[in-house]
Amino acid sequence: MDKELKLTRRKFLQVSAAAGAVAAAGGIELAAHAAPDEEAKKGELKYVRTTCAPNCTGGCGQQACVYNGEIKDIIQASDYEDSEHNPRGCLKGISFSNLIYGPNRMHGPLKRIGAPGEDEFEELSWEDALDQAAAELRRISDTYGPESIACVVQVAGTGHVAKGAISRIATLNGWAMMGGYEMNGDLPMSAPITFGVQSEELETYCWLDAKYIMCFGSNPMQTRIPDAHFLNEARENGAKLLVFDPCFTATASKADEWYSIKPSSDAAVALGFAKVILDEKLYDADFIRKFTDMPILIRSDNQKKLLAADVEGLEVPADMPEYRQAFVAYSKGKPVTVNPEKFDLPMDTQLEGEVTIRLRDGKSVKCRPVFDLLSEMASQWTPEAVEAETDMPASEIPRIAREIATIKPVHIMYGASNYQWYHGDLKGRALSLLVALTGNIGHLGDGFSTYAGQYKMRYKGGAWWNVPELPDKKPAGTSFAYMLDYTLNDYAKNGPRPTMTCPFPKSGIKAWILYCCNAFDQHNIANVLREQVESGQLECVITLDFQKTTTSKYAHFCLPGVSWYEKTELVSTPIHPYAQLMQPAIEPLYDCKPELWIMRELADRVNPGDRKWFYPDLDPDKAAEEVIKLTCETGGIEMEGVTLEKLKQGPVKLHHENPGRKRIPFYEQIQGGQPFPPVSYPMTIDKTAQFVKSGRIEFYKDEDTFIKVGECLPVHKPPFEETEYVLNPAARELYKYTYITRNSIHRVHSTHSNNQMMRELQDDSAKVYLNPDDAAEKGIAAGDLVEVFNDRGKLLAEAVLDPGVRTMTVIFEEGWWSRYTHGTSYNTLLYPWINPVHEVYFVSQMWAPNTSWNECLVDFKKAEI
Amino acid sequence: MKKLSAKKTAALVIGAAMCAAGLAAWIYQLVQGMQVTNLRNSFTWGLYMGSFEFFIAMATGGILVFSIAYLWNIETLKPFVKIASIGSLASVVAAGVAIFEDLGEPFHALYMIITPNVGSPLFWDVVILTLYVIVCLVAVVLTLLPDTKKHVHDRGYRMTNEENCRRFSFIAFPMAFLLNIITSFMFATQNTREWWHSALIPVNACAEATAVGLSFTILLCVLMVSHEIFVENSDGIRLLSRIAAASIAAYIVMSFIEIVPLAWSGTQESRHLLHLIFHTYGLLFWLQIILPLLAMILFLVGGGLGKELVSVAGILVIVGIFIQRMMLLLPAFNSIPLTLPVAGKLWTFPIAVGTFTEGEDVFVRFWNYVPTAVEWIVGILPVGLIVFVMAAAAILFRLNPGEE
Amino acid sequence: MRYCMVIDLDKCIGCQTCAVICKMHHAQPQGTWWNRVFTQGSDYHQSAVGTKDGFKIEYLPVSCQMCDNAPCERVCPTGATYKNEEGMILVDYDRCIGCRTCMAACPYGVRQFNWKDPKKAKEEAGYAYGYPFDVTEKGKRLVYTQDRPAGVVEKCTFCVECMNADGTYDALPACVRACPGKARYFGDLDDPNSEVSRLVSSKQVFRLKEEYGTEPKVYYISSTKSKNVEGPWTEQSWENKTPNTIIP
Ligand SMILES: Nc1nc2c(c(=O)[nH]1)N[C@H]1C(S)=C(S)[C@@H](COP(=O)(O)OP(=O)(O)OC[C@H]3O[C@@H](n4cnc5c(=O)[nH]c(N)nc54)[C@H](O)[C@@H]3O)O[C@H]1N2
Ligand SMILES: Nc1nc2c(c(=O)[nH]1)N[C@H]1C(S)=C(S)[C@@H](COP(=O)(O)OP(=O)(O)OC[C@H]3O[C@@H](n4cnc5c(=O)[nH]c(N)nc54)[C@H](O)[C@@H]3O)O[C@H]1N2
Ligand code: SF4
Ligand code: SF4
Ligand code: SF4
Ligand code: SF4
Ligand code: SF4
Ligand SMILES: [Mo]
Repeated sequence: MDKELKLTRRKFLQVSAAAGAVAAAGGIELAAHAAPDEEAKKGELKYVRTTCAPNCTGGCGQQACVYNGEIKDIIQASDYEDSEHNPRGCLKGISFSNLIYGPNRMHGPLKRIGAPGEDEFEELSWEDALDQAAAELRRISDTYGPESIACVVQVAGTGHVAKGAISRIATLNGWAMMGGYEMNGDLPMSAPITFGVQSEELETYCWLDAKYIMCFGSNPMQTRIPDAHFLNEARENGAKLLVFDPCFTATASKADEWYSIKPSSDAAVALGFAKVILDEKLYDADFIRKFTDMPILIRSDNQKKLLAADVEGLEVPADMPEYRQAFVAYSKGKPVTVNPEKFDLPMDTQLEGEVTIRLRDGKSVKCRPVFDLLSEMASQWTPEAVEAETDMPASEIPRIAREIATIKPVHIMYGASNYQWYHGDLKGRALSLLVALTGNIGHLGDGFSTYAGQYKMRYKGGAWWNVPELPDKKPAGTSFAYMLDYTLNDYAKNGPRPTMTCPFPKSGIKAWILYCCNAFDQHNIANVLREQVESGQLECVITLDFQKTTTSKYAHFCLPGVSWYEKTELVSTPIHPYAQLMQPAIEPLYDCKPELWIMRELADRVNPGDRKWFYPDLDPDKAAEEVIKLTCETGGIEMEGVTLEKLKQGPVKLHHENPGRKRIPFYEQIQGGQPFPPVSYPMTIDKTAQFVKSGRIEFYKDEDTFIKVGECLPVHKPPFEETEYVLNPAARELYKYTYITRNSIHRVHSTHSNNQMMRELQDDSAKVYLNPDDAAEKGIAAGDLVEVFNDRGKLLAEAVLDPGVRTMTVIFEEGWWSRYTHGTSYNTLLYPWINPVHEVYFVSQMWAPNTSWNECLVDFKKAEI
Repeated sequence: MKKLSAKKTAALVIGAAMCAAGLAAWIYQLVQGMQVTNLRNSFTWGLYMGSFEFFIAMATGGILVFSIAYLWNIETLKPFVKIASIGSLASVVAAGVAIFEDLGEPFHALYMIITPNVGSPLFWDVVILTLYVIVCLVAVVLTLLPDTKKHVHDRGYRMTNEENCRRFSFIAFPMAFLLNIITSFMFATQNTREWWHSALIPVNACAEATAVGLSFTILLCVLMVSHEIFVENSDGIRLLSRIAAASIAAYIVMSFIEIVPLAWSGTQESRHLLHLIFHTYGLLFWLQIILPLLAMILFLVGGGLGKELVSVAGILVIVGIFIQRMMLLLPAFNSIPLTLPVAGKLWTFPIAVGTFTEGEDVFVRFWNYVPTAVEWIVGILPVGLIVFVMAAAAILFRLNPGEE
Repeated sequence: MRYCMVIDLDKCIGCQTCAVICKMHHAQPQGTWWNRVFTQGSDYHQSAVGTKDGFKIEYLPVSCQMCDNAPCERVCPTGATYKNEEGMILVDYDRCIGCRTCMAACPYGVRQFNWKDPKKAKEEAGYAYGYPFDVTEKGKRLVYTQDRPAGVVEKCTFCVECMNADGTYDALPACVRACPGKARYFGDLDDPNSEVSRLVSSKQVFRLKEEYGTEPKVYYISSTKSKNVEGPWTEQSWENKTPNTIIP
């Protein structure tokens, strides 16, 4: 058989190393029976490695088989150096071509001519579309100020080139960048509050190194499909897996123990464990003294941390950076300064008891160490009290607490769904306490991980995301929460919230540029957003989506970009340690264009000449390569050794500083003695270090807002009391069901809503999961169409009766385009609660008002049709 | 006479029209694919296979009448053998058409001959079907030969012909049963379908076939034999009625015998099957029993009494056995063999239906099979064929002795 | 050489990736699935089975079991369905007359019929995907083609397109390569040293519906997580919830 054909076929099948396992020795001969037919001979077969990079942030390397210019098949590339990661991928990634070629694929630029939400568009040439869009943006900028134009790019790590290009145009024009992390509710606010970082987590192959894994409201079997096997393997290695989730989930089914706790009661559970650990003195006192703020004294008069500068006879360390504070601890009968840049407190620093400290002004003040306050606060959480508040069986609490304290390493997984609550930060803080008390931070396989879509930037991107040549040019920052609050609380009349620290344009957001975001389905009270378009509050919405989503139907302009099989991009996500390329497997389809090109053209029309900041002379793929080169060169230590050439060969592992193959979070702090926090890209340390001024892991916050709301310590607060019941006291009676929106294996949020194969697997209908007893009470049978409703809106979906669903809970797997829920939107039921604690600082994507998807009460009934 | 031939012409035209409609629908099905039927992966045989089974049973009757008449030399049956044989021929051809309608790729059918799998019951079914067509043809020729102009008044010729008929009956008689036995092997050999996997099925198939075949033949006689001859030979008809009645009794007994082990075993699978039989398809189950039962009574009490009663009885049997043939399929396909007992439940592994309709399940555990309009029209083709053949025969041949 | 597949139910996470890759790779039209994964005992995939006293979610991937004593092969009148030298049951699309007897005979519901022209079906859904080359075994038997003729039966082929004439494989079957749970194994059951043989002999394995005597060559490693959940005895709702409509 002719050699070329043989190669062709084998190339298509992508002979991986694993294949050798079956291929017998003695070479592989292509037989007549496998001969491609005549037509195949004519065809051109190409094989391209690219990266699947939607908002699940799996970042899985894929091989596209391209035959005659069309993608025929996608399969995992399985080419990671750390072979545990092979094969990375899931059912959506390998069927993504359904979206590339599907019926909702954009063909070229569109301008909406129909009413918002209607599918009436005018087809424009790129010239016209860009001219008109640019003119609109100029007009809005002139009328309301450039900061009234907001850009959302979502998931920074999954596309540095295009996302950077949008940031660049915003930088050049002073438009606002709106943080996707908090907009998605994925910002684990406990992380900046406690550790001073945006988020921190184990890379998934480190799950193998844990011996005790506690999973709080994370569902990796469904939401981290490519990594889920590590959990199973960890169990095979002898680790114990405990799942705490109101509902029996796919993850719970693989666990050793599962506890159905009441929604948003995790903090009380954690405090119950903490109390046992404290009572039985099972904590790691040295660790606590060395790395946490627990020895620091709290003034009884104003509940603030005692400042060294205020204490008689204490020195404030010289050349302490401005963002630091030197606090005070108590050792050997006298106060000592806590140096925020060093972990050098004496190991006999007092953790308990009240002391009286003489201040510089001559007065004295009674103080207690944070540890003492914590112990006191935790003491109320006896096993019985915990059971009453959370349904966690009291009898299990001491045993589990002892296991946490004695088995190492302990890893706590904290899921996005669990922190997407009004008091999500408190829960995260309380859970962090468990690993801090037991010294389970900074070693391989331990720690407290937050798993959301992982947005963390893994290296410096500033050279492209900003315009270093023009240091004066900066994008404005703003927050999505206020965009909704602006309408709901009528800023025009009442003015903004008094606690708001976030910059927000006077007349609200007027223009919105959306990339990798289907906000009009996916975002909080999608109906308010829709109304903002209908009312004219939003004068210009531009989406770059390559599909015609619900957002596209509300957009004024659709400037279609391309998928990750049609362009050059740089991808990295924190869940696995690689930088990878997207490489074009096919030409951009129809008249779609790479986003970098779109931004270049738009920039030049908004501000003639600005083309020059976007590699004007290169075609988009070549320009993207230049951006990638630039990023490799300027990306900092993580990018050490990463080059475009290497990336073209395959995924390149990012550099980390700790010894060993795997990156260890907080290694530099715990084992290297550097103060908290480590840097969170793209911010510089001065922006984030202010969150933990002590340079330590903080469990006591003394900013005024924390004191005011009584959250200095990680206390437990029940859900709804400060939200639903305040907004409408009648809700207590009217809406008794907690509405939890979790993620589905069949979608990445709304991406793949329309994937033909996914629709088939779901019997082509959106489902709402009900406890069979709850359903029976309402006369609902499996398969019935159910209306889930509250004062704010309704959702129609088909009932699944799932006994694993906790009673009084309604579960919906989010991410359906409106057209699949009978025109309703599951996000109309929510409300954009703003927790004042989240307003203490505003650092976009680091400390900002965070969406709480699950803080929502509803009722449901059989739908009338 | 004029009047009669007008009726015949009308029947011919109706038959032709049915054929034309059926043929058109079949072509439509061939072009569009079998998606136009309501069959799907979990429910692969329906109206066509049901009709095939049914026509096979119908085809039994004529040959039975033929062979009974000559084997036992029953004179009062002989006036009916022509019509009976033609009826069998028409039915077996109809069966062949019905099975062809059911093929997804009829154009590959030659492979049955080129590369036959001799272990396959379907292969043997096709063999027996082919042989049976020949049997019917021979019977028809034998019964018609004496009517040819040349032999019409040749007594001696008639005698030898009768002898040939008698000899031929030794082949034809068992063939009639063999046809049913082998056809039912297609079901009875399937050990993964509880509803089919039974040694009783072939025996019962013979009983059913006798009942429906004879009923069909009686009906044909009612329609096509002149009144005088019918009355004259009412003993023959009475005999057929009695045999039919006995067969019905055997059929009903056997049907319940089938149920007993099912109910006895008490497994979840059999409970599921019983649920399907008595609950989901309960109405059909009882119809397939009660209609023939009524017919049996009519046959017994009204055997020789009159055309009306035997006609009603015949129709009841035909409807009943047609339902029975469908009942062979309905519960069988809806008790999907891949089941697992989980937490006290019998859980069925869903099957992908093979097509996609917006908003509907792709994976099913149950398929509510009701033939589509297209299927019904395609299904009319074999019926039209029978009507057409019978009408044509009535026009072309002298079916009643003494008829000019 | 007797190829077999082993699926570890402890490792299976029910992600259905194997089902989708099989569908994509083998150009299966809308509604057709050679490989399916569902949750045992559950009315809807990944919803729990049991009561408060014990729940479980346990999956079951099912594709052709490659029966050694294959009823589908025995009933096929034309020999379109046959067993090759490697013990695989294959369908020759040129010979299949679409009588669907094999579908009635196969107890595993894996056989799929082309109710409409698959090429048209795929085009309606978007585009033509899947392995684009024909595969003919022994130079004669057409066992894979991207667009099967309407009216023939198809099913899992153990990815015969990956196999050479000498029975060796160029690449593992797509579902094995793609399984993110690393739950699937493929190899020669006749070779006592193969991984599959080792697994079959060392683990607690079972085969589906052995009572039918089909001798399947797909082995399942029992889930160790499988708690014996006791539910109250409830009649399963056998009928579909959504009514079937008739597609003209
Ligand atoms: N397949 C798939 N994977 C994805 C995504 C996707 O869309 N599809 N999206 C990605 C993104 S962006 C994100 S943010 C992550 C989300 O990942 P996860 O956080 O794992 O996902 P969810 O499915 O939202 O919820 C997990 C569980 O949290 C539970 N839960 C809800 N409230 C509470 C609570 O108060 N306490 C406790 N203990 N449990 C609670 C729910 O019952 C649910 O079972 O998934 C990522 N991965
Ligand atoms: N009620 C409720 N709502 C939620 C959640 C919840 O749990 N409950 N989860 C929230 C969370 S955690 C998140 S992260 C958000 C996610 O919400 P979104 O960020 O809106 O995510 P998607 O729905 O996936 O939309 C991404 C869109 O970008 C397009 N796109 C992706 N990549 C590209 C590209 O390379 N080029 C172009 N041109 N377009 C591209 C896709 O076609 C898709 O339409 O949803 C949030 N919404
Ligand atoms: S959708 Fe997510 S998990 Fe699936 S292949 Fe793509 S990146 Fe990986
Ligand atoms: S791909 Fe693997 S883990 Fe996923 S369902 Fe299939 S066998 Fe199970
Ligand atoms: S449908 Fe095809 S493969 Fe199946 S039995 Fe008939 S001819 Fe054989
Ligand atoms: S599983 Fe079904 S199709 Fe596969 S070999 Fe067995 S009987 Fe045949
Ligand atoms: S072995 Fe190949 S054909 Fe069979 S299920 Fe797996 S992917 Fe599909
Ligand atoms: Mo997210």
